[in-house]
Amino acid sequence: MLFNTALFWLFFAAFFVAFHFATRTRVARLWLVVGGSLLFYAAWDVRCVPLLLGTALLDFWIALRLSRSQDERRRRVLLALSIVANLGVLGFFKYARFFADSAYGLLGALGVTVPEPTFSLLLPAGISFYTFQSMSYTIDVYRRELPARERPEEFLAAVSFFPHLVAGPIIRASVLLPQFEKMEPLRWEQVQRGYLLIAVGLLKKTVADLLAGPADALFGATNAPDVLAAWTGALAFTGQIYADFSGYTDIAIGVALLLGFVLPPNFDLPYLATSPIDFWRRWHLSLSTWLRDYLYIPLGGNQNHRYRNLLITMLLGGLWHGANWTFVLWGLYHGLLLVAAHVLVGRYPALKETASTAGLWAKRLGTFYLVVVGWVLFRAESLPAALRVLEGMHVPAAGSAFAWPEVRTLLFVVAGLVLCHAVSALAEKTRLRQRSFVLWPVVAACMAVAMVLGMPGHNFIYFQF
Amino acid sequence: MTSPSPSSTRIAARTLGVGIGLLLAALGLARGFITYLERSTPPETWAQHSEGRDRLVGFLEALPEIAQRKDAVLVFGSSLIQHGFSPETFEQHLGLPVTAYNLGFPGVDPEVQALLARRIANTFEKSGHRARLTLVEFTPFQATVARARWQRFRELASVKKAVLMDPLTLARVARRSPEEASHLGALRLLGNTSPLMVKSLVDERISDKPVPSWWPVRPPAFDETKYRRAWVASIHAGRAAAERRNVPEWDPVRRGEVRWLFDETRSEYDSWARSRNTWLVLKPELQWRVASSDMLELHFDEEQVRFFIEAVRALASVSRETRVVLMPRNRAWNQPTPEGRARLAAVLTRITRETDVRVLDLSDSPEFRPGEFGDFIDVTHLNESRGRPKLSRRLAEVMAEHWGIGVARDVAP
Repeated sequence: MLFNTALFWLFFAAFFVAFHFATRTRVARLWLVVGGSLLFYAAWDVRCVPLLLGTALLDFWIALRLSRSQDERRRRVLLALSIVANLGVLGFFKYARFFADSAYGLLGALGVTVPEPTFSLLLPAGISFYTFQSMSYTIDVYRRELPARERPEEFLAAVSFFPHLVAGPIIRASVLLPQFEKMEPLRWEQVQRGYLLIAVGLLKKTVADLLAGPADALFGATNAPDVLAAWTGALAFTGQIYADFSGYTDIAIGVALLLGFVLPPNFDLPYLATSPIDFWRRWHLSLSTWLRDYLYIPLGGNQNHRYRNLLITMLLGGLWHGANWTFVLWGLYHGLLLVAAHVLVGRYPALKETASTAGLWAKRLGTFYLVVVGWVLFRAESLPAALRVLEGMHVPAAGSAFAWPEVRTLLFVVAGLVLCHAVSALAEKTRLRQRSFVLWPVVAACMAVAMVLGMPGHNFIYFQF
Repeated sequence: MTSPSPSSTRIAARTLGVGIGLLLAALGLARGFITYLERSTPPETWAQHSEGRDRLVGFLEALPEIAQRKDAVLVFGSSLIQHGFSPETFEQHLGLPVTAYNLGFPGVDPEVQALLARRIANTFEKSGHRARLTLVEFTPFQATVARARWQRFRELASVKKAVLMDPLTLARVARRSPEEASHLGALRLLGNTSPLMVKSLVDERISDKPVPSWWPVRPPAFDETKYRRAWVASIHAGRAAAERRNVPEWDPVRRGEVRWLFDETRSEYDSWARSRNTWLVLKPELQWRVASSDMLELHFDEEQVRFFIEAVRALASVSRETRVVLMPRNRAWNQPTPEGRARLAAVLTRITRETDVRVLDLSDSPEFRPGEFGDFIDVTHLNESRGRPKLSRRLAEVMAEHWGIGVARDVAP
């Protein structure tokens, strides 16, 4: 049940009516959220529901034990149990085949003959998101930053809440639980923002699907691309992944708003970042802050072995995205960029300042270039494929002709990139939603574009993660 | 909070109202844009992008009248029939007074064919008549697993399903796949138009725009695609001059035949057909057919085969005689592997067994020749100048022989 299908909106309309008109008590609403979310999740694969329920109930029970125990050793064991269970589930379903294949390749290279792995496992949708969300609850309870819930419905509702269940943003229990506790009445400003975000999200998803064509053409080809094709494809994927993921997030936030819940933003015009450090303050914020709070700081943060901690965090952040060495490489690449940026800023503090508009745009372009190179590693099927694209981008082939149709495609790709940032800025950085006479026509127009050009049922990229 | 406050409920009600209003406004804008696009596009181009949707709509309008005829010969199938069968030639060649119809529709899969066949059968049942003969063409590569998975084909088929869907069928689809049913409903709301059609049309319009004068790199002097398009434009102009009427996609005057070949267009048609019969055109087309439809290996989709059997049964129930037809194959390009042939043979045996309808297999008929001056316009379709009349006459001969009557003196196409 994708956000860009009619079925989802039928489901949501029914859920909205039941939530606002048919339930009278907070507990009834909580159970409605749990039931609706499980139904939403079961639409993908009903076999995955027990896993979601199982991990969530285990964390609920562990958190309860944690809150009732004063014995630090026992508390540590309980926390370890939660982390092992969550990461175990994630590792088994998402990475077992990857590790088996990698071990098989490594042993083969060392001359050791072992049977080739042939098993395949079902990858439950959103497993990377909900395990992190669930785990953050037990960690917060262990740290005594959050009281454990006595009844399961509140926690189950927070973990399984359907807008963010399968592709984020990664919402920590500490964000949603207080909202489920209070159940604030719906406010009209929330509704206006919600509709605007839904419309902008649908428009972005439409742009993402249009950009998928040139991106797939580049990354699906086996021959060496010329410079124009390589840049067109790489920029198309750069636009596609932003439009796709931020579009999904916008819809998720919008849908939650219409139910009266506020989810934190996940993006902040990331391709306007002025440095790799700035980029990670604008891209997939829910993941980067999660990694910061639950991995980077416990590793020692800025205090001990800062650069090592950064590299480990980014490496694991890369691996979180998928079971492939290209993701690990992408994480390592961004880790190195962050280390280099911190070293440079440490040595030349003046780099932090931006003297002029030209300087600002030079920084933005430089960062954007580095990000695009990173996306090539991320999108390519293999390292040789990534190198082929990178070579195409940087080494012009003899006799490359800048024929108009290819140039026009590149211009459309750039326009798509700009449009996605422009609509995000319009939705979140302007007063548009306070001006009804502009707001509703804009919302209707965005929805109309999505209806006319949107590819129904085209998957969201982040579902695979 | 124990119960929602009245103001919260009021806001929720307002939210719902605004949502419905937005949906209606967006739908209005979307349909307005589609209408504008349709009106500002030449009918032939629109037909090409809508892939037979309007042809199907036109046929459904004519169906009640067709069902009143006792002498109807229904030749039912895919675009292979659409391009490969001439009712007029068939009637002229057969020594029996019949009224033949070309019921070939492009971009359909057996599931759509089953829906359409049921609609035809219901209409004939209501009229109390039966068709004199029904020939049901089976296109093997349209019933493969690969074809069922190819998004573009699925979407084209969905548009036709949306056209043919009645509430009962929609409910049946919803039981099987709520996602598909809701998608079909959405297509219906968009006036049976898919975003895929709009996108391909907009793409073509953009790519048709000339290179701006300020761009320093000029296009090559000879552009193969434009060259072929010029022939097509001449053929369209020639047809307009010859017909002197608006020819609908399913033309009741020609009983469904799509005719491009007239004295005014013959030389252009032949040039165009020859320009398409080159290795450079046919090789990629074959590769595409193999990738999208598994044309040579033919791994059949069980469900699609079942739908085809349903279609045959439905049509046979309202026809005095029925045959399943396997169209002539372009042997230069379409050469199924031994495994593919074996799979096809097994499916044909199954169709015969489960429907009690005999198969007329013309796939290896030597009289249909490939090549530049042969009978095909591409890897799969017969051409209008030679292949179409040849097949129409051949079908007439087969049936005449079966009925023990002679064929009429041939009339040159």
